[in-house]
Amino acid sequence: MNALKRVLGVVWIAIGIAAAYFLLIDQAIPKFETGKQEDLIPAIIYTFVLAPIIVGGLGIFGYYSLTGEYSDK
Amino acid sequence: MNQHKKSSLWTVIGASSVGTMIEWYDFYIFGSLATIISTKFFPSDNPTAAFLSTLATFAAGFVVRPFGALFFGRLGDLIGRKYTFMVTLLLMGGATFMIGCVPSYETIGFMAPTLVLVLRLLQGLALGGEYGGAATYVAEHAGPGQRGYWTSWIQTTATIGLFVSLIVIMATKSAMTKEAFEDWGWRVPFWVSILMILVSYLIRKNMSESPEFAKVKAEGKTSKNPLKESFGHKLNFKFVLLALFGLVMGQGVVWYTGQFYAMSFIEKTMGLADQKGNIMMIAILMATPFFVFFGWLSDRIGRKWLMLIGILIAVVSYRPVYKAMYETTSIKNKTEITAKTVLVAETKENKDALDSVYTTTKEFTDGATWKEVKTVALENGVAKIVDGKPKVDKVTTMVVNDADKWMVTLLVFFQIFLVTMVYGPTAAFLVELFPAKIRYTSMSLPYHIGNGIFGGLLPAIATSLVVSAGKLNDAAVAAGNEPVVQDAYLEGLWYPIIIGAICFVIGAIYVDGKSTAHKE
Repeated sequence: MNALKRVLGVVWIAIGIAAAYFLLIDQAIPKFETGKQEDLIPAIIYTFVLAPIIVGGLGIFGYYSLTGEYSDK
Repeated sequence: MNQHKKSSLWTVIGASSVGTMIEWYDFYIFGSLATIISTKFFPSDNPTAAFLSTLATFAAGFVVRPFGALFFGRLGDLIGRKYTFMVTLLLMGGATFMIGCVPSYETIGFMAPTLVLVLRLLQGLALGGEYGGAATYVAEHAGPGQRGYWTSWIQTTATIGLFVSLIVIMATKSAMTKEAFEDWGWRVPFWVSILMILVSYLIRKNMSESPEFAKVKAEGKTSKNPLKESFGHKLNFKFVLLALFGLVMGQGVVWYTGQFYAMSFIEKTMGLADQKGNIMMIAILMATPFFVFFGWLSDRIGRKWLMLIGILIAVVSYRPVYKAMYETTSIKNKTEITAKTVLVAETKENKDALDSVYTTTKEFTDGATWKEVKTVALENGVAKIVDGKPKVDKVTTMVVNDADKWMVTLLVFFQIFLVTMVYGPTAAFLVELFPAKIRYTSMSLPYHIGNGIFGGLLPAIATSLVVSAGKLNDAAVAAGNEPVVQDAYLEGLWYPIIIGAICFVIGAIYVDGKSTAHKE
């Protein structure tokens, strides 16, 4: 189980990076570019709230997992 | 447990649950009255006011709650649970009462939406601090082995708060004319809050501090810096991350799908605007006792797998359940009585312009009725063009027969049943994950990020996914091809399905089923 936890650490980091691409490149930037009022708030939320939590959070979780922080002693 | 201890525990539960229920009530009446609040404070033809309106919805609901969790969580771990959640109660009650007193945009201009935004932010802060305090306070009175059952009463408060808000609004509406309600009556549910808060304050005032925290304090073992100890030390922070990704984000999307996305889907996608309230209220009433049942069950069989299985069933069943809801009421599956179809075309004045309005009503052999109102905005006698297309608004409503209504109610009940399975044991699980001296801070933040951000953003993200799929289909059809996305109305469900699936895997592999506070 400990080996699986470590391997999955890479998966969580990868999901964090994929989420960053989806939230910023696929969602937020096109919304910023429309210049429409109704697109501005979701774009801000994606960029400054959701992306840092998912990318940063999953990234750190993956790193901890990879370095054995969650391994059973 | 002796009789005296049990009766004082019921007093603790009553004082904590009523206050938390009122806070949810306060939070929800703003949402339930959002349409009328918009007309009073945020006129849609004014872009700045509309911007403030969106901020009031998003910022208070999603962004501010975690800050409230940090601020009040820290306070709760420093000075105690009781005083902190007294402050959150008064803050919420005061802000709610004041929203009901703010003069309209017509009277004081921009000061009105600005004041409402500030008060709404205070509501969000208070809510962020309340839940963790109440859950911790109750759990620390209950003792090990019974925390699931006793804290599950706190878990019912969010659903009951929503229910009570709907009841108070309906009672106020029925006590006056529609005009009076729109003029000033909508303020009554906000004013009612102050009475409820006063009663709850008086009850809570006489409660004593939680025994576990009192012991920690008496031994001089309280945290000097709860924020640093919760999030600055790897040993605790890794459990904060585990709580968020291994449970609460999944619980958040299950909660918001079952209680809010279902409501929006019934109204906007299925068109059952007039029957929505009835369906939701029956489903909520039927499901609410299961919060307590699953809380109790988690004390006996463990919390981890109970909650994770709830998330897994949600992940697997959402698409078939929503497809069944849609198909049950879809007019494609009904036989139209063509002789009863009526089409009325008329011109209506709309402020300084005219609109062409086409109203179509249809009846079906099973007793269902369907109505579509298509409004074409006119400019100089021809259709007004916006973004290269005629500006057309279409509103479709439907009333289904009792059998279909009950089928939809049952399918919504199933979703809320899953909510109770996942949410019922959540407070006990979170409380047991962290040591008493930093418990309030450590459990509040993942809870409000999971619910406020992962859950709270669900309606916006799901709607955006459905719109994107619709655009792809429109483009394909315009190019003479078949639609590329089948059942585009189900696309929004990918968000809770993916988040839930990730949460299930993390929870199953990383969460220790026997988890208790990791360093007590």
